[in-house]
Amino acid sequence: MIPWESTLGFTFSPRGNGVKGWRLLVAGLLVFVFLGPSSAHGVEVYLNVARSQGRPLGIAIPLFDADGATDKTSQSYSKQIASILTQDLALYGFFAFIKNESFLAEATAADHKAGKIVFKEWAELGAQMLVKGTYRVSDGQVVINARLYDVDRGTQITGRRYTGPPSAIRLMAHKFTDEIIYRLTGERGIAQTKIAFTSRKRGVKEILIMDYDGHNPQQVTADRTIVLNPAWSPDGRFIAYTSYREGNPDLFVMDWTGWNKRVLSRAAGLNASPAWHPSGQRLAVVMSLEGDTEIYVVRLDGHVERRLTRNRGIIDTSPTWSPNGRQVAFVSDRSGTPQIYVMDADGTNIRRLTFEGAYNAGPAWSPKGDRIAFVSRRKGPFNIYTMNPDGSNVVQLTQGQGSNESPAWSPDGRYLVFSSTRARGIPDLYLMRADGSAQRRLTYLTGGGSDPVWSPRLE
Amino acid sequence: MKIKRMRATFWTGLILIVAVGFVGCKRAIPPPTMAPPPVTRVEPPPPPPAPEMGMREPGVGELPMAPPVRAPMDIGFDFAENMSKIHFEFDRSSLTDEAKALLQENAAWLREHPDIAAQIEGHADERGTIEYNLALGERRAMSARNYMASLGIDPNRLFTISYGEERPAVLGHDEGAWGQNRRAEFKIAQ
Repeated sequence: MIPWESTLGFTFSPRGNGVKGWRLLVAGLLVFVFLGPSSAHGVEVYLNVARSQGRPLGIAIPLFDADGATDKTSQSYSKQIASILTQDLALYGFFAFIKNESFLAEATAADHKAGKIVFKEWAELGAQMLVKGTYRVSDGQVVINARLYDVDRGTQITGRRYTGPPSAIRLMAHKFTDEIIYRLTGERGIAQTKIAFTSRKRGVKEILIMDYDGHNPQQVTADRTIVLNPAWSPDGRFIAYTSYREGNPDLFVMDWTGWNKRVLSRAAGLNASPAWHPSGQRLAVVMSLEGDTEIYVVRLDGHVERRLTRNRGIIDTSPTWSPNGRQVAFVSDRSGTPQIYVMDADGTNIRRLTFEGAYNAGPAWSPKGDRIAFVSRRKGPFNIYTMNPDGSNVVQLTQGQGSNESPAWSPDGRYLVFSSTRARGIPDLYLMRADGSAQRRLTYLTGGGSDPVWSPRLE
Repeated sequence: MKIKRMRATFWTGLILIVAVGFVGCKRAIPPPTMAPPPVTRVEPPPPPPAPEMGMREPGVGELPMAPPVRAPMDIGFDFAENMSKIHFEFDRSSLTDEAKALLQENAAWLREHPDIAAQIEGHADERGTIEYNLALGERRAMSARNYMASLGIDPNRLFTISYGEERPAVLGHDEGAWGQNRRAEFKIAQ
């Protein structure tokens, strides 16, 4: 076994664009305070309203007002904030945005004239929700006051003040998105999450990390070789991955910021496809210790705790844990073609889940445990599907535009990130709702994007 | 189950104390600190375990499989101009008659050069998942290695590695390219 202390001591970060963006994540940098009362009954009311009517909630997000002197640069913040909030919220699919800018400007002018919010004006535009705010720049710091109002009741649902450098404006807007979503759904949003993925560059593949909306891609490995299969630990702190940096596909773990890289497994043959147990204390991995690929459970110190599959000459790979850690879904070609199976966490009670099509692979168990996303080739190219964990209720999410692979769930289970070759023949990353709607391209990098994994909530 | 494996010891002479968390701190970006070549010892492989299950693919695993042997890190590999690459069917690791004939020639050459170690590199085409293709490349390399072992080549002379779909021989998205990319290639140790 490879003891923990034998790990490599190397620590580095990539050159070039580097990791300066991590500054934004440092606790204490971005300060927020509560503004006024927050409605206690928000959650049930608004969600129930939206659900019972089956209609989207009308929401107006006018430009934030300048509070004090501004210049051209700071004036752009207003538009930026409104646009990020709109894009974040649009993903959820239960808002209808009041888009007419002149209507928004008129209602804002009416508010200014009255010296208070004229809710009637906003209601006439069709808004049930209203986001209003101010921004001010002092000593290089941006101060944003953001409030969410219930237009029909004429009350404030929540308010926040954020203070930080101009480079943190995206993060401030994401934070207020999450606050809005929390107030309206009772569940925390995912606007502050990140996505790790691989991208090709001059013949090598490295891991990058970006915001969940595709912004701020940052390279976190510089192995100058093939790097694959990033897997984010459940507590958000670590990323396990496979790298050929020592010539062989070996498993490593690093802090998610790219620092403190160390060996997890360096056996002869494959060391790949890591999947964190929900406890964060062990991983299911794929190794070929005896000449064929099997799924093993290894501890964080590299110790092989258990072998889960036993089939000579058969491929067993792509493990994914159920969120309660009691089961593992995986891919095996024991039937003659790659198909998805599920087994208990001790390797027993193996059941086949997929029967249609000659290629079903890449399972990803949803964070709520209710669905398994996977890749299937049925007619033509590879598409993303989901199914119940017993294999029933299969739903096709992508429709044959390019080859669609590597689905990974958002921590709230509402979305999937995946790779698709639809735009230019090489894989780029896309986002969609868990029902396949609202598909949107995330990466515009020369080297494309593949193998994505979504972080847990990091705030 | 006791698993023997090579152990490598690494050290670095440099400890980088990284202060993360200071607002606005411009972080120094040190170059990668390369560890010196590891001291590598190849353990003799344990006896192959008894087969547990029948094989579905003829030609794969009919022979006792020797555990993979990892090439020491300080060995480089050259293109083996005297050994041919072999090709596979989609999602298959079994050896075609043509592949077997080529492997027999490769084995003959290795017999004539008993001091040379070779690396067999298994590859897959771009279709399918990254993880499955890694496993497929591994099985293709092992399939070639097992066959050569059956021809009398010491499997400890034959390192294996899978590149999955990551190192295509030919760019392209049609069967013409895919057929050339589903392959096992031979390199010789320098």
